[in-house]
Amino acid sequence: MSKIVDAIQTLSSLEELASGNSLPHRLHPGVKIIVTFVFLIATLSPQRHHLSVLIGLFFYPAIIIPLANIPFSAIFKRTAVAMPFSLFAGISNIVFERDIALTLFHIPVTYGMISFTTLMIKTFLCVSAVLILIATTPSFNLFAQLRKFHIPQLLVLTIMLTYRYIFLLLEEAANMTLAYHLRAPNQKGVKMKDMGSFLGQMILRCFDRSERIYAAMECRGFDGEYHTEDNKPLTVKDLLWGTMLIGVVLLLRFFSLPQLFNSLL
Amino acid sequence: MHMGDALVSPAVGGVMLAVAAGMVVYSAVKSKKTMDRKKIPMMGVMAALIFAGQMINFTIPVTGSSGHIGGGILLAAMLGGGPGVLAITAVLLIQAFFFADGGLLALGCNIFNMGFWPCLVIFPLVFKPLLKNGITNAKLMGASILSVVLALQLGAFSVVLETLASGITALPFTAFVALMQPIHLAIGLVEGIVTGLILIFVYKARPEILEANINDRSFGEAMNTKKVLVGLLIAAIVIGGGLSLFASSNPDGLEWAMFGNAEEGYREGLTTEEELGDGYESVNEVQESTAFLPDYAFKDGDSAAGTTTSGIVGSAITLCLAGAAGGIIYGVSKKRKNKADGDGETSEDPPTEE
Repeated sequence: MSKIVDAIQTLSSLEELASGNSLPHRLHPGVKIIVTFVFLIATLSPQRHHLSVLIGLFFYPAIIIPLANIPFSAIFKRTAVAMPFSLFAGISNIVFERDIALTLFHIPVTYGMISFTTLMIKTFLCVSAVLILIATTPSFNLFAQLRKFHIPQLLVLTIMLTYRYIFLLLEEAANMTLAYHLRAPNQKGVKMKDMGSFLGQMILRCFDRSERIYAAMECRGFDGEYHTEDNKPLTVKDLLWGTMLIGVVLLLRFFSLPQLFNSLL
Repeated sequence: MHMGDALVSPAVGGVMLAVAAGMVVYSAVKSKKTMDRKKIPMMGVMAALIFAGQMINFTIPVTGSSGHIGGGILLAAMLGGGPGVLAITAVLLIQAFFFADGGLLALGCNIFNMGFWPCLVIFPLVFKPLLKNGITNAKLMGASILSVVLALQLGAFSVVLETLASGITALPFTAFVALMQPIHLAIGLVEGIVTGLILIFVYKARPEILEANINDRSFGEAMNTKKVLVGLLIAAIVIGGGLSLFASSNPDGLEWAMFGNAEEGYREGLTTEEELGDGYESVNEVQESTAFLPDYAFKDGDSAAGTTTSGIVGSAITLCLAGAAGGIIYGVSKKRKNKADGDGETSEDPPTEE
């Protein structure tokens, strides 16, 4: 139940953030998607013991997130979601890579500890990069951009409809679980044997609903295509910003800042 | 089972994105040609339903733990294989974008693990044939359990291969498999039973929904065993070839791409360490020698302790600078906001930056 409420809150708070008006918000969605991908590749390309280069990449979220007025707490919440599997892989590294890589103030540091830290930093950086994209781009501009990237119309349409109906169905699921729990107090979840009729009921309603939606779409002239308002055209300013951001990310990736500061000392 | 971005290397993520893109385009083209337009809103609504359904926890008898539905087989049974892939792709994309569950670069892996296996392989090859000669409750339950278990086993095994190929974990292959497969067997059994219960309920109320998809030849004909096997073989060659291209000569695809030649790239001092000169026979060797703080000799402990400490000082400075930059921007924008609020309560526009 609380999970459903959380999901609704996450979606609406992201919508709210995305409607802001800052420099990152005004950047063209296509440029933002490409910059995000470059950043992800830059973050994920260093190997598991290659920690120092990742430190420099912290500059990207550290600058863009406040510029876009995104609260930092949002990232930590999301990182927690992404953690379980990373944690599993990371901890097994600590167990399996026991060779000592270096000693730090007389404390031995193993390769496993280094790769664990690398993985955690990578998780954090990737999560914040995607958050930056989502929190500065209204969802329908994002989906319209996917169409521009030649992603099949049918898939984009499905994504758009899914996103629309998630709000509605989450609410319906919340109502149903609430009703169930009012009739079954002191019970942790829905009983497994009740799941068939529980979700089955929802599915049946969805079928009827989708038939009504289809009828409504037909009434408005649906011909298999879904026409959306195009995103604003790409401007020279967008291109310049995009090139600059990509350049900075690549510089941070290939010239290790910690090393630079170290040589200056 | 969602793989996050941090678990894949760009090479693995890129190859899998390409594979998934091929699959999605194939499914989209095929679905558009063969399916009724009426199904389009249904795909969206069903995908949203699966998303919401995954949030409902059910209690597993005896164990006291709780689980939630997965959805691949369920979507395929409701919509058919091809539209099922598209619907699950929509769910995965929204989860990756808005909930940090999965990732953008890992999206290809996730579509493959959770969409390809259940919708394009297990559904046409296991689920449909089992129910071809008439649907009964027992058959429906049996087919659901078997299909979900098989799809999850294949998906979990794919996770293992993708994670290992990315060089993320030091976990040996056998240990990883021994961990993943039994866990997903248990999950699969529970999920299979729940999927069966749901399908039985739906079949009782609206038999035509399931019958239409099971008797639907449009995907069935296209997905005959031979074609699937040939497709899988091609995918294996592409994936294997693509990955080994990156993995054998160079673990770091980006540097490789930037500098054209792996050895040259490394010799130019990108990743350091003399022992690299010996060759690149094994990925492990390279992984051991590429270092955490490049250009600092720290492998042999004590003698290197001094340089290492200074390296950490460098990292600390970088982090402090990044933090300070962010702090200043926050401070400035807050000040501006306060100022704007104080200036006039009538203006509702947010302060502009320029």
